[in-house]
Amino acid sequence: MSCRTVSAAMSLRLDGLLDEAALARLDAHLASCPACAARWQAMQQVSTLLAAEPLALPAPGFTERVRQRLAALPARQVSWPLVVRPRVAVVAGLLAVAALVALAWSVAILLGQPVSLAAIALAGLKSLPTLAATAAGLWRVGRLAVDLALTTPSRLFLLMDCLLGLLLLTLWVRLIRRPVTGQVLMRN
Amino acid sequence: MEERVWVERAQHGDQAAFARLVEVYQGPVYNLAYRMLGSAQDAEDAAQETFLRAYVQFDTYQPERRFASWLLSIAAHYCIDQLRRRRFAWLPLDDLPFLAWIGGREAEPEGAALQREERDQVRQLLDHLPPNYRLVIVLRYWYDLSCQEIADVAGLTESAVKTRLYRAREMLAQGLTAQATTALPARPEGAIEEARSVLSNC
Repeated sequence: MSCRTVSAAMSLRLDGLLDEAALARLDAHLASCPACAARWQAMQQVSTLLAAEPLALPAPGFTERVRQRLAALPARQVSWPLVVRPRVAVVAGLLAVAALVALAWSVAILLGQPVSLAAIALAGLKSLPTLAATAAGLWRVGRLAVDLALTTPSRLFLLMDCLLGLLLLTLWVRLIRRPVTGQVLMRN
Repeated sequence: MEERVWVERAQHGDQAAFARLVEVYQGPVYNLAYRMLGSAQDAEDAAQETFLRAYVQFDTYQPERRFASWLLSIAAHYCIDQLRRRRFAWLPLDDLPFLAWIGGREAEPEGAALQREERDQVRQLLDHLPPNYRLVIVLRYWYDLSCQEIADVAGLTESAVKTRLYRAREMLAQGLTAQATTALPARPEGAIEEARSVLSNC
């Protein structure tokens, strides 16, 4: 055992993780090396000093102070924590996407357009930036949807589909995030 | 009642169960923060922050993990983050040996003085360790955790914990040796009165 590797062995010995053979090699080295023996003594002293230190405790009333801080938190800081439920989020997300595709499909049928999923997806993707960028575009789409819902023979089907999409979206948000408020703890 | 039940209830929004967990773990969490940050006020803030984060992030807790490990890991990450944010190396007044020598604490009982000296010595030794090394030492000595458990709290591998432990112990041993060689001689009789008379004549 060399002086370079002896520190690791000393540390393992303090943790009771050194086997008999390594222990004997360490002792042999310490007996022949005053510098390492002095280091070993200092390590033992530190270990004894640390082991004797008691647990530091907070001032009385800590739990109450935590309650007060929880209650004082602005609701937005605690009400929407990042809750990880990946499987539920993925399944619910896929269902929501399926519902939206079905909605787009039904709109395409009502408008008499050729039914092609790829075309719907492509058209949807292309129109997203425009829709997002212009309020007028959103307004036009809204009006078109309302007109369709009120005038076409299949308006009931269309409305049901819209409601289904909205319901799934709401469920998705509720499933992946759970509201938590500090005020709840305070009331107890 | 088993801890698992309290944790489960707290996770489902039972406020009394969460308060119970705060009551049980306030000591371990506060102690970790105190040993890491070195001051009672910072430790109080860090401990409170730890429980707030635990409450807000309770859904991230996995029941197969030890609750204590999860809670301590929140505290550890917070403390290391705080230490990294400290841009300046503050030198506490207690670290200036001549002030302690001049000021003295002559009314303090001998036993209390010894305890205080040991406490100060431990704090000074820990202060000289980098945060990541300080953490493994604190978890080893105050919580008696195994290397595997320390690895779980600190987010390290077991071999990394062993390496940090031995390097930290090396640094601590060097610190102790340095303390011993730079220790001031015992305060001479009448030194306080002499120092006061000098100061009063300024």
